[in-house]
Amino acid sequence: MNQHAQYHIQAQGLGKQLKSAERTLTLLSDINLQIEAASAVAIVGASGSGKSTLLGLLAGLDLPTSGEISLLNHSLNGLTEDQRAQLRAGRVGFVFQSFQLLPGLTALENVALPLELSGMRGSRERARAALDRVGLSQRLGHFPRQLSGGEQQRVALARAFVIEPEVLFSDEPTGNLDKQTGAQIIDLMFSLRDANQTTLVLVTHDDQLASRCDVQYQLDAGILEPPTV
Amino acid sequence: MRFSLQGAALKRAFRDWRLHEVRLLFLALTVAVLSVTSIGFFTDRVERAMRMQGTALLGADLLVSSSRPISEQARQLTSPFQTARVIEFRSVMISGENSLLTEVKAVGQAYPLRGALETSDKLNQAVGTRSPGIPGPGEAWAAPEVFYQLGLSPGSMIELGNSRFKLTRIINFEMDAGGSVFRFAPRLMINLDSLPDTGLITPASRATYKLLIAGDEAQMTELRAPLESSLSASETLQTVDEGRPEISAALNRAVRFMKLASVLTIIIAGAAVALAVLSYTARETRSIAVLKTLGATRATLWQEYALRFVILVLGATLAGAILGYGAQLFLSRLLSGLLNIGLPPAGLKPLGAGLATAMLTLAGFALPSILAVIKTPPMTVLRAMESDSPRHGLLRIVTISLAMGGFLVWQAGEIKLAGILFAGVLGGLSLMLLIAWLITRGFRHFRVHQGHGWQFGLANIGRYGGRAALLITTIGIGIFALSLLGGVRGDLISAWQNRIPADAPNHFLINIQPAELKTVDAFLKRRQLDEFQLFPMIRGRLRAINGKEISADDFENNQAKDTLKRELNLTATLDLPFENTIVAGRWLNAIASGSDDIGISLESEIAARLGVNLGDRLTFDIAGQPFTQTVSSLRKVQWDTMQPNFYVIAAPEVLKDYPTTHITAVRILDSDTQFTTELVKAFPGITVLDVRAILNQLQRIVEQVSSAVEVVFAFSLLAGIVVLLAAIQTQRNDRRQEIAILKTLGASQKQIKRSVAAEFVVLGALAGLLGTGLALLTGWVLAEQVFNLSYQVSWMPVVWGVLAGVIGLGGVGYRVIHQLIQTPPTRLLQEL
Repeated sequence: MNQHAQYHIQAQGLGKQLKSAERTLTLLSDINLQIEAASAVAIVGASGSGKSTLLGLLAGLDLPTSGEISLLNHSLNGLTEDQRAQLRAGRVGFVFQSFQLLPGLTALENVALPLELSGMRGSRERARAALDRVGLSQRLGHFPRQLSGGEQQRVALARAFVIEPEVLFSDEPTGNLDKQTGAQIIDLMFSLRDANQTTLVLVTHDDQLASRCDVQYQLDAGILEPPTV
Repeated sequence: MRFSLQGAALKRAFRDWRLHEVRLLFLALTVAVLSVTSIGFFTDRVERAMRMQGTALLGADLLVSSSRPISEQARQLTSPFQTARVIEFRSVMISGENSLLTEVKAVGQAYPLRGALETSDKLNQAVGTRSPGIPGPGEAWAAPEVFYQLGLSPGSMIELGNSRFKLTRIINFEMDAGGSVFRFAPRLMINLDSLPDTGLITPASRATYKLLIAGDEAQMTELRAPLESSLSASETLQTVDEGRPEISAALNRAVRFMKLASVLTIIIAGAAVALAVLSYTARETRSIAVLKTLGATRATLWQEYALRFVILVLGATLAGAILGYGAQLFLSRLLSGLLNIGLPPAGLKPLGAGLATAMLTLAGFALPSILAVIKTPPMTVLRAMESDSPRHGLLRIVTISLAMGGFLVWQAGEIKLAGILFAGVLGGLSLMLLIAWLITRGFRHFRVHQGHGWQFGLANIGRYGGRAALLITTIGIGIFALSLLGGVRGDLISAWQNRIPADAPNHFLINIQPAELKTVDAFLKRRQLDEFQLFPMIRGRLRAINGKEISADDFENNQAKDTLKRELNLTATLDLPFENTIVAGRWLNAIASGSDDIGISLESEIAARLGVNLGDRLTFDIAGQPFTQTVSSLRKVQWDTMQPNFYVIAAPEVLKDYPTTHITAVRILDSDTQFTTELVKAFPGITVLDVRAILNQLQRIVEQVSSAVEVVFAFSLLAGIVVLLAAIQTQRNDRRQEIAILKTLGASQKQIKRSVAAEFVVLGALAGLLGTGLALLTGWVLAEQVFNLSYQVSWMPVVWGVLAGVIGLGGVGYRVIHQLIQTPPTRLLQEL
């Protein structure tokens, strides 16, 4: 595959199948895409269209059945789970629909986690600053269960951006939030992305949200339509 | 970029303490450590005390014994240590016109260096007091037989050689009497300083000279070799072997009881660990997936979780060991006075055992779950995935079996016993799981009519058969522990206490001549003593095995040496004595009579000591005549029954030409103060041994040791409670989603409550039934197969077990679920 520095993500002929005893289920077939550095890309589709599966493959959380992927100029094919994790460490951020904060850690500890795990210095100060940027400087010591849905997603944003990631993967970030809170979260996410010049890969079924991205792909029953810009 | 651990990981580890599951894990491990360390500390002390008890048997740590005065070299070598001199010989004492052959023991200052005599100043005292010191000059102390046979009382004067002595005290209990209560002639003890005036000891006299030596353990070990090499031909060195057999038998049985109870505790605690870890890892699955998306490798996660578990293990070891030390102090207090000597302080060795226990329990019962959860695919953050493969199920069975097997071998100490127990535990668990699963299948046919809540509950048992079976089994294990404590343990202990019945014989009559048999029989029957058996007693020394002459020097083992140095008791009977069991070969009367070689039955421990097997030919020297027979059976003897016991039993016809006396044991009431006096008057040749002091001591031991065993069983109870809590915790997590969905679907609180209550009450009752059933079976097997006790099954524990199940699961479980029912469904789903 041709590696271009300006592309943070490239996928070619990507397919994912699930095999069971009776039949083979095709989740994704022959997906080709290239995502430029610092661009914002939306993948839109109905439930069950394979959006989350594609996001997982692009982020190296899972491996495809066929085809090739490169992330940050590294081919993911042939890398072990640990090697893929090392590639993500400190360079890739995530924001999920269900927030995915660790319940036993406070907001500050959740945000500091990726820094501590990478052995970065000053993790607490940086985490505090990140939480300040998302407007939660008063809630540092609170546990996820003590925070509202919107606040939890802000903590998740702070955790994603505290490492100043090169790529951010986001899976239905407003799916669990009311409209108003959702809109605030999206504004926050885009402003942080702009400030960091982060490549954004956003999976959503919300056309309005998708329209804020530079490029939009439509995923339909595992087949990716050509992008609209 | 490489991940590394920081102090923050430590902080995260401590954060874990807020989780119920982690606290339960800690509690389960602590109980396991507590049970191992308390018993470890305690047995460590008891074993050392038993060695000290052994020293009391010698009256010293080391003893030089000789047929000639102790050599100058030996005296010089031992002079830096504590020493005492003793001279023993036989002599006739005279009282008025009567005389009696006695075994005189002249004791020097400081005697005994270890242990103490028990004496009293009145006749017919069953138990004496521990006497400091020795008889004063001109005083003599004597065994009760001396007083009875000569009709004397304290204060009487006697003559011994050229001297006169005043009998001042009665010797009730002489620890260093020589291992056996049977002595040729009764004891008379005088002061060594009074000995020269008697004129009884001349260079030509037959006497045994003893030098008692005592010092600290290191000094004695150091002294042993040079002392041994400096001894003259007539001198022998005696060291501590083991304590008195009846005490060590009781204590050994207690220690086995305790160790088994401790394995049981560990296994039950292990079940709690497995349950708590299941809940814990279920909770951690999502966190691990998130950490992986953030870039954590498996190695990082291993470090992260290893740190948490190391802290957990260290914490539980420390807490368990501290509690174990406290429990051990309590155990020792319960047993104080038992050993007549203070227990030495506990060593630190059990700490290591505690740490090993915590590590093994965690590794065996939790490792596969941890392995499985660390493999959680990161995709789990985006959609639910199957993370636990069947391989982990298999691994779980392997590690749990290895851990259980390891504990059993370690604690039971013998592979065979461990094997039986292992098969028992595994078989019992599988049986419980199988029965539980079959029962839950039966509930599949249950149908719900008119939406009654309780019907939902019962139908749920069938719908979630696997979950119900697992719940029945885990709660069943908890109840199994409870009922072992509540019922079976009591039955086991009373079966043990019954071994020494209240009417156990307390007097032995020996030296009954064949001509006196009928008149003695009549004498005893006149005193309403019906339950006695007169055994022939023949004393013989083992001379050869399979025609090859043997001597004490042929054996390394001190017990074997000792066996060859003394005469053994043989008897002639075709009735297998009470509490004797054949362990190999066939009992004498099963072998065709008339055959030349009916052979002999040999006690199994002595056979093992001497390396004698079935079919070997043994030659004894009985009063100068050889007696050669083939070993046709090996026989296990219960030495703590207070009945006459024999090393060798032969058919009457083969022993009929050898000189025989008879022995019997009878129970004399304390009120019958004249028995001995009258018996001795009628049969002056018969020696009466009053063993009330020993019997009392034995009964006291069993009583005290029983309470100690109960304490150890209480740890199993604790472990059982932790299992119940852990099982309920798994339910709290399992049911959260179910209850939330039921509520969203419109189920009323009342319906859900009734459904859960009905399900839990039925499952609790079933768990109680199966748990107590297994406990009864375990009790029976332990009693009959391991401890040689006869066991009466009582069914009350089943009733209590079912009640405990209903209250434990139906009550406590219901309360926990009740909290969930009160929580709004949105919050329940949020917390998932």
